[in-house]
Amino acid sequence: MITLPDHIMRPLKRVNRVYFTDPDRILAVPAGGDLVRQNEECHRLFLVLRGNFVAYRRSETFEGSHLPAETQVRGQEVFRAEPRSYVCVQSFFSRSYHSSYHIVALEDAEVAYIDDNTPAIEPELYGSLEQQFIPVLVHELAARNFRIFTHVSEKEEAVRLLQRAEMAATLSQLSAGIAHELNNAVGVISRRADFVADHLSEFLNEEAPQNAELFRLGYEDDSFVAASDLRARAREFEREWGLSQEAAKVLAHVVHGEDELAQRGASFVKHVGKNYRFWELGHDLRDLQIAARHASGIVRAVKLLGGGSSSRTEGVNVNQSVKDALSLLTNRIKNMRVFTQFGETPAIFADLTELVQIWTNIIKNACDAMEHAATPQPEISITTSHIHADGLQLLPAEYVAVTISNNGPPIPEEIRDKIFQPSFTTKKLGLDFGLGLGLSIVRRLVDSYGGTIELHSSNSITSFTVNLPTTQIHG
Amino acid sequence: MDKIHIICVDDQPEVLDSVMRDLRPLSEYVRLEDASGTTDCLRLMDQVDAEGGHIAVVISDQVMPGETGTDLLGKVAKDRRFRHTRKVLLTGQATHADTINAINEGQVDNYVEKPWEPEKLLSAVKRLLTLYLLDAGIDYKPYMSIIDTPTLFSKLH
Repeated sequence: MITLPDHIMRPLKRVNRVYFTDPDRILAVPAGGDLVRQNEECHRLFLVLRGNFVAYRRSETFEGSHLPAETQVRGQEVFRAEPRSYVCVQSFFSRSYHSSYHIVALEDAEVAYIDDNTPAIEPELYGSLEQQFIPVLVHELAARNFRIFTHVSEKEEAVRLLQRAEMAATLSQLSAGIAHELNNAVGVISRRADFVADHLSEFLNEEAPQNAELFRLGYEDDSFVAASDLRARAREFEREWGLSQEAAKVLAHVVHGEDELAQRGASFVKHVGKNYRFWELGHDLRDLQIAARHASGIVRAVKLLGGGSSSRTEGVNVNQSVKDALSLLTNRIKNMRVFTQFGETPAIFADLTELVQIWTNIIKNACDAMEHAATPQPEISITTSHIHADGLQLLPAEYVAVTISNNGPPIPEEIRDKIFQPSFTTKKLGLDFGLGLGLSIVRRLVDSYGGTIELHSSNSITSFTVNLPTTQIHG
Repeated sequence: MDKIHIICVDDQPEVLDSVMRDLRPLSEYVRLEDASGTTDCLRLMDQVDAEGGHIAVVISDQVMPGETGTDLLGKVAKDRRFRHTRKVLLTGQATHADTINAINEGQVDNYVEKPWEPEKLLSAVKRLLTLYLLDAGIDYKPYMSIIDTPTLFSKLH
C-alpha cells in the first residue's frame, strides 16, 4: 500500500471518483483471465477496483522457439497489482499503447478504465487531463520505487544465502581434507605410543621387573581421585616417609589406602621414592593415548558436521539403532537407570551409523547435563513409535518417532534456540565430542532425513523427540 | 613452613601434568602444586596461607566448568593476603573480550597461549617469581639459580 501526502491524496481521490466510476467503463475479469497480453495494443489506463492481478514478462528471445518450458511461455513474474493500483500507466501516457506485460487476474476481479478518447472533466477548474493525472503519476512512481527497493533487498538476501551455501560447501570439502590429514598424524602418534609402551614394557620386564610394574601402573592408571584428596595423601607420604614431592604424588596414585600400603611394605615405598619416574613414563604414554583419542574424536565430529559420506539403504531398523547407541554408551550410562519402550516401527531408508550418531549425541548430552547438575537418581527413558499423521498434509504421512527423555535440569528458555547451533556449548571444550558440535550434528542429520526435532523441557523432565519420515520425500 | 609455592590450575589432568612437568626445573627451590579447578585452587591457597606459605605465582587455564580462569584470578587479585601473588592465564582459545576481561578483571600479569613453549613458560614464571620475591620483601639470595637476573637488576637499580 502506497501512502502519499495529503495534497496528493485529495486530488487522487477526486480522479478516482470522477474518472473511474462510470459503469460503462467497468470490466469484470474472471480468475485466471487476461487483462492485457504482452505486446498487445492497449489504449486504456486501468484502476483495479477489486481483486489482485499479477504481471508477467516474457523474455523476447524465447519468442518463436520450439517447445518452450512453462515459465518461458508465461514469463517471469514482475509485479502484483492490488485494489487501488493503476495498470498500463506508462503505455497510456507515453502514447505507445503497447503493454509490456501479460496481466492476469489471480481471482475474480474488477477494473475501471479510461481510454485515449476520455475527455478531461472540468478542465477550466482542474486543467488538462495530463495535469489532472499528475497525482496518479506520482502514485505510480512511488509504487515503482517501492517495487525496486523490495526487489533489490530480495536479491541481496538471495545472494547472501547463496554465498552461505557456497561457504558451507567449501568448509565441508576443507573439513574432509583436514580430517584426513589429522587422522594420519593422530594415527602415527597413537600407534607409536603403543609401540613405545610395548617395547619399554618388555625391556623393563627383562631388566627390572619392579620398575616394569611401576611403568604398567602408570600406563594403565585410571583412578579417578579428586585432586584435593590426592594432594592430601601425597603430603602425608611426603612427611611420613621423607619422599620428594614428585615421588609422594606417584605413591598417592599407586597406593589407595592404609591397607594397601601395609601390604606393599616399606621396601616398595623406598623403591617408589627412587624410581617414581618409571610410573611417570607410563603415565606420559597413557596421556599421549588419551590426547590422541580426544583429537580423533574431534576430527570425527567435525567430519560429520561437514557432511561426510553417507550410505543409506532400505530396511534399516530404528529400534536396533537405538540399542546400538545404548551399547556404545554402556560405560557412560552405568550410573543411570535406563528405561526403554520399543514400539512396532517399520524399517526406514537410512544410514544406520547416522541414526546411532543422532541417538548417542542426544543421550550423551543428557548424561552431561545430569552429571553437571548432580541430578539425584538420574534416569533416561527412550520410547519409539510409528506415527500416522492423518490430515496433516504438510508433513510426511508416516514417520517413526523416537523420544529420549531425562530427569535432569531444564534447558533455560533463552538458550533453547541456540543449543542446535555449532559451537554453542555450556560445557568445557575438547573432551569426547567437545566443541559443542553434538546437537548441531543431530540437527544436520535429522534435517538431511527431512525429519523434525521437538524439544520439551520442564523442571521434572527434558525430552527430545526426533521424527523421521518412513518414506523419503523427493523434491 | 616458610616456603614459596607455585600453583597450576587446569581441569584436564593431562594438560595439568604437562604444565607441572615443564615447571619441574623450579621444584628444587619452590613447591609446585596443582589444582583441578577454581574451588580446589582457592581451598589450596587458604591452606597454604594458613600454614604460613607464600604463593608466588598462580597459572590458570581459562576455560573450565563453572568459573573461568579470569574469575579465579580476579578473586586472587582482590584478596589482600595474595596482593603480591603474580597471575598467569594459560589459554588455547581467547576472544578479544576474554583478553580485555583478563586484564581488567583478572589483573593478569602474563598471558600464555596453548600450546605453549616450555622455555617461554618457564622464563615467564621465573620473571614473575623474581618480581614476587622483591615485592614481598623475601630474601632472594637462596633462589639465585632460578631467578631472572635482568628483572632483578632492573628492580634493584
